Amino acid sequence: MIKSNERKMLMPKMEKPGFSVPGKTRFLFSGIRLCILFLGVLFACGTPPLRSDKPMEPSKGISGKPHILLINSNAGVEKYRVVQDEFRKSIPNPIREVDLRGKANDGGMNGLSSENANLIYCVGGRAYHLAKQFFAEKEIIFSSIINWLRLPNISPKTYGVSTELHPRMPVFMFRSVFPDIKRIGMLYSLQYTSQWFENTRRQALELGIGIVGKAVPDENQTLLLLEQLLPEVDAIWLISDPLVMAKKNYLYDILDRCDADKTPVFSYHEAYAKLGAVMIVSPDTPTIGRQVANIAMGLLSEEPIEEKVQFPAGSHIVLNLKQVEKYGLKYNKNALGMINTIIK
Amino acid sequence: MEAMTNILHQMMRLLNTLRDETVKRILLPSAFLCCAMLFCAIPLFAAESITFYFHSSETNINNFKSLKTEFDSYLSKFGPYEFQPFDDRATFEQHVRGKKNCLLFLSSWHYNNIYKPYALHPSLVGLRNGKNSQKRVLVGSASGGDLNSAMKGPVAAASSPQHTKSMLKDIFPDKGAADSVRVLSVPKDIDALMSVGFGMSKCALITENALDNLKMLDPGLYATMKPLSQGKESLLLILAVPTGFSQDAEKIIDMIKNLPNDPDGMNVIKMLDLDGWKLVDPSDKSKLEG
Repeated sequence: MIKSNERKMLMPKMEKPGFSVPGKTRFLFSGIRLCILFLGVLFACGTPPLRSDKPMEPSKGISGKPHILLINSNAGVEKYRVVQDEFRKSIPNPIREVDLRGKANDGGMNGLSSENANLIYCVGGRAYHLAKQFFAEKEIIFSSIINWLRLPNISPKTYGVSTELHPRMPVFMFRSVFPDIKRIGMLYSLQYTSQWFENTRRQALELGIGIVGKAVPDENQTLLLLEQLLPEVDAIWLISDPLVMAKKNYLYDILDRCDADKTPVFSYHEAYAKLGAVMIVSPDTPTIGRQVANIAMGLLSEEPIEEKVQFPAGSHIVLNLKQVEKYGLKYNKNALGMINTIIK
Repeated sequence: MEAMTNILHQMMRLLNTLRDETVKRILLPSAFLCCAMLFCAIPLFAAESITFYFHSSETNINNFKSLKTEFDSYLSKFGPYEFQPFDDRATFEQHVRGKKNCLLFLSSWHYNNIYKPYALHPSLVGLRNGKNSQKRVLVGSASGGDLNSAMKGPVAAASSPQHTKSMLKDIFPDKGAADSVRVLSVPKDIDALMSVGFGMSKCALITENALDNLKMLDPGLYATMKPLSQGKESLLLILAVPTGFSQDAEKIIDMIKNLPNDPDGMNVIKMLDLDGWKLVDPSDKSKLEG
């Protein structure tokens, strides 16, 4: 947040003229001043008042269509750039795109207020916070924000696509590919992921899969609880929890321990497949951009949006067949059609 | 080419050492004649690579990297063949235009659109669960989903937006609505179904097969949906050959037909969401070109 006095400091200072001018030149200067004053009065009479009782009509682009302000927290980040590209391809409206990469403080938002966009799309957390600060009265759509439930200022005019898939989606995919896996172990914490764990457990039960959980009470218990969990389950599902993965080496230790036990690891991040995880189910990044475009078009057509913050509609699946063969796991070949990347 | 220049260079040096002008006059043209004959003969001995071009407008297949690796691994057993997938229809068409020495994998809908200008004829049609055709089903929420609300969209689908809209023209009572409806393109049929289940879209246009799979694997979610309408039967993936294809087409087509009989080939066919292939018969051809 930028305080008002800080904002003042950022304003360029106006310098007073520090030189004297001779008489004739002074006369010429006052003539020019008069002309400027006259033109100024003329201009002021011809333009509508800046403040009025009526709200300002949102401007329309050159094409006559409502226009969108897209603020990207950092277009250098691939996932952010991909959603932006896909959004642009999927929407016919004019878009003013702003990249906050390398821009300090308000990222030039002050200057954009005058453009009066009809809708704001924010990619990433920084873009969202600035949009809330400068365009609070507008309809704002966000994407690519981890744990959006912790966002402040969620107003009725806030819409978005979360970065976490509906828990039923990965469970369905695990079941489709590995029909013999019936019990999946999960390490979670009461502090961060207990609600998510409970929801996932309920969803999985409906699909005939038991989720066995161990709540990690502090950062030193992760590996100990993993040891207790392994004999009870057919697979381990690694989730994103800062308490469970409090130390960097925990990830490698968990993967090594499961590998020694020939217990397959399922997870949410593609990078884990290269480290030995068997199956990864994550949101499909381009689909997020298309989904936001759909929400935006719905809002611009004044259609009611039933789910204000939606789960990602597309999934991306990585299957590590090298590990599958190493562990001697049975898998459903008919499910290969839904796998995006196969590691062999 | 460099080797050839070197040989010529060496020969010229040899010629310079020869004093007899008559020998020079005979040797020089003979050497050039030999080189020319060699150049002409090279293409006859070198096997020309044949490319299988792939674009499917019916499924939003985006596993291209893995599909290419698996396909190329299978094809390498038979000779210099290559698999080249495209995710964009325009680039695919631009790439195959005028090419004779290639084979094309494309949807039956796409085939019907381009077979005349591209002078194609169909060779194989995909099989799934013993059938070579499928129906598209429009599915909405069991609580309150109907065709009227479906026409307002968004419609989630794993096929290309053009293909989806073309299918919706057969389904919607108001044909104009199919052109204006918003389509949400998702990677897989199951994503489209889940997007209805979790409120991301009003309805989904999916294959009958995907709906059957959902019924079997997740009866709970299946119960929250209902089929609103269905489209016409259409043939599955087609392997087409350009007219004037100069190679041994029969051998190549057999190679593709035998995909399910090979362990590597089995992975390929499953990644295409098929079980096998069958030869296109006159009745299939009339459906495709009708």
